[in-house]
Amino acid sequence: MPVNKAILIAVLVLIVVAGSIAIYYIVSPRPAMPPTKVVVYASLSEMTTADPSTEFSNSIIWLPLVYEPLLWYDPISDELIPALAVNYTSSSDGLTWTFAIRHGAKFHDGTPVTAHVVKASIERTIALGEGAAYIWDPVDSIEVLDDYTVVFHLKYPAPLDKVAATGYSAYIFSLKVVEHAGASSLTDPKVAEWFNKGNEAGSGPYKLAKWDPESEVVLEKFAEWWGWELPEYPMKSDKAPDVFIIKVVKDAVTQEKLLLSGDIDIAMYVPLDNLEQHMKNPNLQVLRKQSFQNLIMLINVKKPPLDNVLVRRAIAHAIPYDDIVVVARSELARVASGPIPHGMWGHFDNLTFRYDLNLARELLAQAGYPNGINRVFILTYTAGDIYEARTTELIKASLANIGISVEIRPLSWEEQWALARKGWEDPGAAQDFLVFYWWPDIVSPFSFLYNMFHSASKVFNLCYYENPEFEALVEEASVFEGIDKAKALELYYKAQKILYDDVPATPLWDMVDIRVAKANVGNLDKAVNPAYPTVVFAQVLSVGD
Amino acid sequence: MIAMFKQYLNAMRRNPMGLIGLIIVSSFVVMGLLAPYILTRPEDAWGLTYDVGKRFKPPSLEHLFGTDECGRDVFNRVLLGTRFSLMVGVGVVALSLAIGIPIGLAAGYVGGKLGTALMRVTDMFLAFPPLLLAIALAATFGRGLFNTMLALSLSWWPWYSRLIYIQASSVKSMPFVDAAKVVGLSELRIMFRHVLPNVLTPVITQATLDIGSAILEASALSFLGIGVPPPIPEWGLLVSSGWQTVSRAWWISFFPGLFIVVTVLGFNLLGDVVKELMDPRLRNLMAMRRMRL
Repeated sequence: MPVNKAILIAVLVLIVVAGSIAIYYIVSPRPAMPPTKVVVYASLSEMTTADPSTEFSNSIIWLPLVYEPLLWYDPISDELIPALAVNYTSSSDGLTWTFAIRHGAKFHDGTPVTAHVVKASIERTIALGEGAAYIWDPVDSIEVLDDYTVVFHLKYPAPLDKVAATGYSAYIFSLKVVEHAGASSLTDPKVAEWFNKGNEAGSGPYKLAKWDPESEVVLEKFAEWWGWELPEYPMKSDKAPDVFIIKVVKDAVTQEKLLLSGDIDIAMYVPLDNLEQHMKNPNLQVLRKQSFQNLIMLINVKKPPLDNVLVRRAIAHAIPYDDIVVVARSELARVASGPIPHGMWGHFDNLTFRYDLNLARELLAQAGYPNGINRVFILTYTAGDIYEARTTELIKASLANIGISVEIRPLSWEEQWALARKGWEDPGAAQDFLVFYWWPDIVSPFSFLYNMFHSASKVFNLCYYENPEFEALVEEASVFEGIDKAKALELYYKAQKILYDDVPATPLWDMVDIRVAKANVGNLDKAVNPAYPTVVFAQVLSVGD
Repeated sequence: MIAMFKQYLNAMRRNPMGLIGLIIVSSFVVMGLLAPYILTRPEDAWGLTYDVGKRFKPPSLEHLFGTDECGRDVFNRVLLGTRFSLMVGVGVVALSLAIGIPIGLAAGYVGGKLGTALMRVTDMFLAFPPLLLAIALAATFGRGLFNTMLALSLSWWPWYSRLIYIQASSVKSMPFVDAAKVVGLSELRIMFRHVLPNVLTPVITQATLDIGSAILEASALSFLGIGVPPPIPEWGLLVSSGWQTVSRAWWISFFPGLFIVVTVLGFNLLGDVVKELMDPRLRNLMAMRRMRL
């Protein structure tokens, strides 16, 4: 039949055409597509929230890649790097700070970054008052001079440049969030909800492509980021990865295995005792970088006999600091000198307690305890932390030499903290020694000295130390930090000297941070910055083809 | 007494694996008892010292099992650990028996509403996977040798009370119980003097087998960091302390691990013999099987 024949012919023609197209595609050379460069970074902890105003925890690992503050801070050279602000000036009294906003910067949704947006973003953070919002406490009002100039008027002098460069609560975000979230205003809880569903409104070099807080966060390059175009800009690389994946791998041993098998490119932590092996491995690189996290032992200065300064000094001289660094951290730490970590502005090198058991015994004898103290001292640390565990074991072993017996109590942080906070009401009910980490929110000595030793800071001053002279010095130093840095430094030194003499605490070690990565991940050193712990600035990485 | 001993010897002859179990267990018990007196480096064993120059030394004549991250002798620590691990194993089972037997006996013998109530409580505990319950309890009580034992016992006793309950509820209707009642003995006396001895057999067998598992679970808790606190050299804790560095210094985890395996094996082998010995039917069956071979 003619109709059937026509259909048959049509089908045959179709098969032939389809076949030849298929063959053409298989045989012909494909247009050269640049391969996607992917870097996978393993994080020890799960992500927390995703609101740039209030997030104050683990999500700092990706926030600085998606959002930008006005400035970045390089604490090693004590320099501020322009981010959304091109430059800034401050008045001589430290009360007025003027920031010039970058032209041409835009958010991932296409809207431009302007002075108005900067003001609104920071005002939302202040209004919500959560997370690290207190960093903006000095700010009285924010004024928009023109589209690209914003002025901060302060209540009291403060280093606002460092405040603006904080890793928490200093981010600028698009005002379109109100519209996206269907909210009535920026402070409407719907906005936070919208963020926490895995949405973002940043201007940074990477966009949030996948948000799975318990297992992985996928970031994709934002091609229109202003920084890619600036040839001299220090916070970028021409060979930055196209996709940066942060994968949650909760223990160091597994991270090590995944790195060796090639499943991840950068490990946040591997067991420190194995580092030597990895340094010999030509396929791996080991980065060591001084961090601003330190381990410190707070002494209950209100519980006898620790209320006697001679006893506290004896203890400070009976701790084997050098050995602790070797055993606890496989030398990946430096013996502390004062509460301010090495490498930070405000650190001084002459505040280390000398390990000298004879001196310690002598001091103890002067205090009236020539044969040791007949009481068991309670030392608490956060259970599960192997570095703290080893440190406390050595402290216990060493204090036994001068007749002080210590009972080590590993507690969860909540328990440890709850017990410690009883000390302000009833010092006798609290622990004798408390070992914990401190790291700064704003990178300033103030963060260490105020939080741990000022009597107004009842939540973290867990040595129950009160000294009006010290407190006046710290407050004054903070004011001068925005105006006269040399004067501030002098005051910070005096304050630390008082702590050295009074011994409300013995700083133990300043952590040296490590990252272990495949050898082909370039610029790792530049991508890690102690002011932003756990972050790897992916835009700085250089990955070969 | 002598007859029982003879019986036991016979059982051992029939089952040489049981003899091995007995040897293993008794040598560990002796080791645990004598440990504090035969340590060559007691300070190392108790974790009271450290030596930076001796970290991660492999096994040698000087340090049979090598040294750990603090430069302490692993052999001495494992040796002293015997004491704590056995103490935990025996302690957990003893505590569980102390809770489980009276409850099971009361529920089985008295029966009625009390029996139902007691067994429902038992069921509540049984509803949790044992190790999970122990983990939750240990985390609540805080770390410590006794707390660990308590946490494990609280997740363990229901098994014994179930066993006892089943036995007691059948034994209570036997003629000799009625006879005791007729004579006018008190209920308590009947329960403990007449019923209890007749229901103990399966529990004792089970208990012997369980000591090994108790050691294993206590080690698991310590390994997870919620059991015995450092620097007490409990085996599980020793395994856990060396786990991070196992690719560099295998001996820190290996030897305490080996000790755990051997002890648990010993208790299991011993338990098999006890089972055979305690169960007349099984005993005869085994004897018949022997003869046929």
